[in-house]
Amino acid sequence: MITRYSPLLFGLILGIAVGLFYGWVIRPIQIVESTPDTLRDDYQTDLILMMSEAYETEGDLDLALQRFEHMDLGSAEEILRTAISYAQDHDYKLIDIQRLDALLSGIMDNSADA
Amino acid sequence: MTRVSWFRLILGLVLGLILGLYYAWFASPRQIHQSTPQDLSPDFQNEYRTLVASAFASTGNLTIARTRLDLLDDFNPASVLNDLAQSHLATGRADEEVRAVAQLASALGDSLSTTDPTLTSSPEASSSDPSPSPIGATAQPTATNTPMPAFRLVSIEKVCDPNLTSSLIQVIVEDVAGEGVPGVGVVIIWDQGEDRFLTGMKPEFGLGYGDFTMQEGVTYALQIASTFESVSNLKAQDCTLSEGGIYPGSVLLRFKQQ
Repeated sequence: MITRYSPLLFGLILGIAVGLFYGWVIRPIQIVESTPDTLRDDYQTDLILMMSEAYETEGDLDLALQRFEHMDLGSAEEILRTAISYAQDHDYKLIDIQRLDALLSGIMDNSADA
Repeated sequence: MTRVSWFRLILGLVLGLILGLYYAWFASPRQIHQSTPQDLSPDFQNEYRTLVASAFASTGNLTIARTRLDLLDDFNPASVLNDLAQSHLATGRADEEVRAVAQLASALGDSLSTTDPTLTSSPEASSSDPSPSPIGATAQPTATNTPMPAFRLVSIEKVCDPNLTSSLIQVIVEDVAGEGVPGVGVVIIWDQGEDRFLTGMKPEFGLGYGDFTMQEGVTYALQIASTFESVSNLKAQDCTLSEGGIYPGSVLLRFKQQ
């Protein structure tokens, strides 16, 4: 029985492996209308930087958090840490990193108060 | 191997390939972080534009704002932002955001004739490089997000311009220095409705200018959003042509920051 269906099983496993490799690596599906969490790292970091720049002048934490919600980016703290790390690794200007830090600090202080 | 074995092998391969592709493309597509702002859905693109405007309102850096907007590849970014500001105003978005979008639209409209809009650097480059490209004047005044100041009506004039194809309520809002203020919301109310517009949407007439088309025989009231300053009993005024005849004229209201 096993010998009889071995070619079928072997072909099936090989086919699945090839299909997965092609579909995930060679030609992954293109999402036409994507969400901000799929943005390339530099674009996503710039998005967070824009929020930080706006927060710098407005000083409105509620509005800043609303922006994270509108962008559907998940945990603001987590995404800010990722952005800061990316900015540090890619030699962003110090003032930009400070802006990101300031927004992260504001959010953390707010969490601590709550 | 027998013919039957070969047949089973090929059958298995085909079935496996179909299953593998189905899983990779539909059941569990790989989340790749390779999208650009242009790939975002229209709603998220609008959020992106709003963020660009809010950042511009904070930094006053038009070059970076333009670089960021270029990533969306809008044919006419100023016009898109104008529409977005109106939409934000109608949906009750935060005043800061409405004003920021209108200000960026004005700044872009204002600089169209003097700048080369072609710039395709990535945001990473624009952030880390203080002088990405010598386009545009970066000496835009730093826009502020201070609360909207109070504006007071200083004059109402009848406008008789036969070149105007319709009767308008024309509004000019100026700061203390007499400079036009863009992004000021104006509410128009009449018996059966209400409409809103922002100053600065027609930068060719000045940053503080905005207008609304009146219907003949309807009386309107106008209020500057975020303030208590209002004007009532506005309607199309009769104007006389030099060769005789009457046509409906417009009304010009001038507001000044207190």
